[in-house]
Amino acid sequence: MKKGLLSCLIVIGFLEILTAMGVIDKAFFPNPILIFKNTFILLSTDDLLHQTLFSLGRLAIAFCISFPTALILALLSAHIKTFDELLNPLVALSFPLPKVALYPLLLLIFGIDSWSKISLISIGLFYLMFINFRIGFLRILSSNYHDIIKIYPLSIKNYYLNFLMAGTLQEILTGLKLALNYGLTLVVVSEISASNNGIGYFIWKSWDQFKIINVYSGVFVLSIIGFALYFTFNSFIEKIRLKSN
Amino acid sequence: MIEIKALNHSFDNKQILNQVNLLVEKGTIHSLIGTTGAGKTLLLRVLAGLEKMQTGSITNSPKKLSFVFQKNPLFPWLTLKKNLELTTGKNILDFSAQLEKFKLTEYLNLYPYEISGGTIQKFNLLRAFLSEAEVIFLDEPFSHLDIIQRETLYEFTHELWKEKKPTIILVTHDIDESLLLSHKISFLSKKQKNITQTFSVKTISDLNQENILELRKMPFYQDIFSNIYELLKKDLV
Repeated sequence: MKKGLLSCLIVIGFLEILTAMGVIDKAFFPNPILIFKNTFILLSTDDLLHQTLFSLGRLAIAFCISFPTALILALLSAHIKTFDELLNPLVALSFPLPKVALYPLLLLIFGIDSWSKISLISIGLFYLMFINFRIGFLRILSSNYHDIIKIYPLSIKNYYLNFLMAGTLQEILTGLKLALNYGLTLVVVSEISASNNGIGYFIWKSWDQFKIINVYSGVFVLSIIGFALYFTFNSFIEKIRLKSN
Repeated sequence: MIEIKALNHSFDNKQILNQVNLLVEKGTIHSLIGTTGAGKTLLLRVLAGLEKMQTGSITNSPKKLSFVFQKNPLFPWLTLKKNLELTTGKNILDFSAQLEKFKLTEYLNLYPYEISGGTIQKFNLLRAFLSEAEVIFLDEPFSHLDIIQRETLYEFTHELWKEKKPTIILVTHDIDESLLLSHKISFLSKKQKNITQTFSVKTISDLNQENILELRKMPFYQDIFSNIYELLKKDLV
């Protein structure tokens, strides 16, 4: 974490020097300190904060749809071979498809309000969660930990919570980390068109009005969210990895 | 008494066990010894129901059994206390006397990665004995430990066994281990794919380090040791 912050500070410091020296054009690359100040003002005057909360709300709703769906399907896949043989080829076939390509279709189906955006984000989140959860469940069910519970049978609650979920927490958290970071991308992409709120809309509107510094502020807020998600999940994953080794 | 008759097992058309017959008396410790790849662990897993029996019969198959695994015997994501409670379905207070007796209480809130391999195996053995199983299967539980840790665990196993005297089937490739712990030793031949010889062993009632040293000097120990050694050597040629 400390090293991660240090590398960010080095890049920011480097950009600050380049802009101060006039090596790069301030119109397109405002100096970082100015971007921080502008972000702070925009957040405190509610506009950027309001749009960020809109986007995070969409991400949260999409997560509430995708997480249980991915979890249930991954559990079924890991436990029922025929189900896995039917579902896995479908996932393998549709996973490489760029999810953004589905957006026009989703706009037609759900209209231009929030649901088209939420459905796009949900689809994107689903794949990364399902793939990682399935790998985790298959791993633990083929490990010798599965032999332990054959000898010492667990209650249904303990089987799902303390064996399957707790034992695959590393894959579950990896799936969540990847999915939520990808989800942020889809939030912005879906809000750039056919939207009148959200951080994607804020960035696009700022670009349209040639308020370049506001574009950077929007991107900066997204980076902070992504950074926080990445490091939070990574710190948990590291703790689990340590126990497993 | 557990009786195994004409047990066969193969993987991908390769015969591993061929017409295996074995008699394990109730309340005794019976070792299965053989070279690597002889099918000892497979036989143990079939007896424990972890592998489906292909052909053959097992009479008096145990209804309540426990198993001491060689590798990853505890869930690494749970503390030792939670591991014991979860797998035995009992409260930790039910084990407090044994935990105190064997000085294991201090480890309860630690995770498996925080303790030594020897202590992990103590918890593994304790769980097996405290689950009140009729038969306990031990799959080379001491193989990755040094000689001192192994001797401590032989004593530990013997102490636990003496309490209720469950039937134990131990898989090992260590002649010394089988001689120190067992009442009977069956040799599983890799070449013939079945049990070719069974030895009866005199055991001592108290297995401690002094007795272990004494036992190793006894003529019966040396006789059986050299017999099994010859069998293992011939089986590899």
